[in-house]
Amino acid sequence: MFKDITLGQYFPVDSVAHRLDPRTKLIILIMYITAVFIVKDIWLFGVVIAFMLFMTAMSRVPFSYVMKAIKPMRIILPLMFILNLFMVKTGTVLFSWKFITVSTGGIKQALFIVLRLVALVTGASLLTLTTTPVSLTEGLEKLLAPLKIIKFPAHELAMMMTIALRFIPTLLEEADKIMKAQLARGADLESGNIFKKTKAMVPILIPLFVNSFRRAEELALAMESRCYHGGEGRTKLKVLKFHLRDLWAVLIMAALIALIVVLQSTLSIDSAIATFILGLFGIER
Amino acid sequence: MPIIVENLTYTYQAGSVNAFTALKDVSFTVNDGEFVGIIGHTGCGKSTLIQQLNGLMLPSKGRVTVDGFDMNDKKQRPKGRALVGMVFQYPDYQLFDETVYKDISFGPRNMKLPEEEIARRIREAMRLVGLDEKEFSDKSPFELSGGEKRRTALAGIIAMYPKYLVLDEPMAGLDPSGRKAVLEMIEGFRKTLGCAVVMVSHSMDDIARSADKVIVLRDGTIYKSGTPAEIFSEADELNEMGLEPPFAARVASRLRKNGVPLPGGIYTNEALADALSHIKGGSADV
Repeated sequence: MFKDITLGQYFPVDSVAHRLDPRTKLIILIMYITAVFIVKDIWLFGVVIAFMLFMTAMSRVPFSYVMKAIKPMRIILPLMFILNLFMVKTGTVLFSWKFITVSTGGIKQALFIVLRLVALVTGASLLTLTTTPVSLTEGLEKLLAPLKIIKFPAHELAMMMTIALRFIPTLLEEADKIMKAQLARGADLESGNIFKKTKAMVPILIPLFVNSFRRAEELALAMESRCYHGGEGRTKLKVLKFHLRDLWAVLIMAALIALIVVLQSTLSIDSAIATFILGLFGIER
Repeated sequence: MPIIVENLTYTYQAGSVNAFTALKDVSFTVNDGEFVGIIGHTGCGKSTLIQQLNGLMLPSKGRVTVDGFDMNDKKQRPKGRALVGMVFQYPDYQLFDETVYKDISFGPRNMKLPEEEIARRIREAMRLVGLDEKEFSDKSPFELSGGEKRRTALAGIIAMYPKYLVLDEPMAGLDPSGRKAVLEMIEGFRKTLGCAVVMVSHSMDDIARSADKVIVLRDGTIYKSGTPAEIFSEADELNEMGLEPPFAARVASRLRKNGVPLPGGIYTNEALADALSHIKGGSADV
């Protein structure tokens, strides 16, 4: 039942995207998210999607694997689409029946929401697919390090994230074992209404929590017995280093944002952009 | 009616690049009241195999029937599962309720038994695992010692009166006296409830002492199966597989190499002692 979760799953191949510094990838992700949100034009969104496909190609992770990240959203996506389609009432009204109205604005908004969510989730999962959890948190720690001046616990935060990511699979495996143990005692997890189902989860959640606390204590002891005392004076085996490719990656990303901003300010009308984009492919409107 | 496993094949993550066949064409039968020991290397498919016996995992190919109930069939599965009690390696995976008494009652309650029958079974189960009813009934299962937790977990299964008791390394992490106690408990269940036992264990001595039939798994297939005498008298063959033969079999094999004329088929301490005293007695006659 936990097979759909790809969050935090590393896909071990060698590619440009894999070799990038985790800090670069984090910065690119932030820039990419910015790009996703500044695009106000449905046609221009094609550029963002194209860039997402470009990044996927650079990562050498199979496209179908990246798309798996969307699977857990298979319920929320259509729901968001339908809600926006029927509830937004701007632009020309195309269809109206009782409280349901479909307008051009609604179609645009609905498409936008879905595209944005898909772009965000795939972008973020590309980061975790190409970066091991350890180097990811290391990158985060380094990026947040300047905030230590205002007493921000960058190292502790990174360590907590590392541990949390490390134990996701362990926890899932354990939940599976507990579930089997209770099923073997005749626990019924499937039938009944939502209240009954929630109540049926108690015999699974309690052992899961108890074991997690116990494990946390054991882990703390194991860390202390190896002289862990926080980030102060701690050195790294592999020191992060920026390369030329990191500069290129950030520059390409910056160029994309610049392109979006320029295109959006010069051609503010949908149809003008549409003509432009279609023009690129040599199609007359 | 027995548990019949027919041509069972199980593949993890079938169809993906990580596909791994843990069991290949495994067939065997667990008869009423029989004690079946399953031995084999870590990763040979033991745990996967026993989870098939009550339908927690379903075969990729082949069939498991429990007293005629086909575990592949969604409707028949709960009926088959109710007959098979499954004890996992670690009691921490199943203890959850406020008190030991309530925790043991979870299984029988799921079987929708009448209240007085549940109470009777809990009393019986606690007696069989050696937990004092007055002392432990109202204790929280989380404040128990390791051994007591294991007893509670066992009692939780025993109270369901399973016809087949399946145990996954029930003695892991216990000291010698704890191991002996658990083994005696299992013998006790067999006598009182008349249930069949399927036990996975790394301790050849325990299997040698109790089992009627031994199954040796290797890389997901049944490498050998037979009576303990058939399996354990070939100490060298077990050694070759990386399994440690029972203590008595090892000693006997070493003695034979050193020229002591011991007969074959010795695998229990008692048999070894008898054979040795026979030799001594015999030589004294001369």
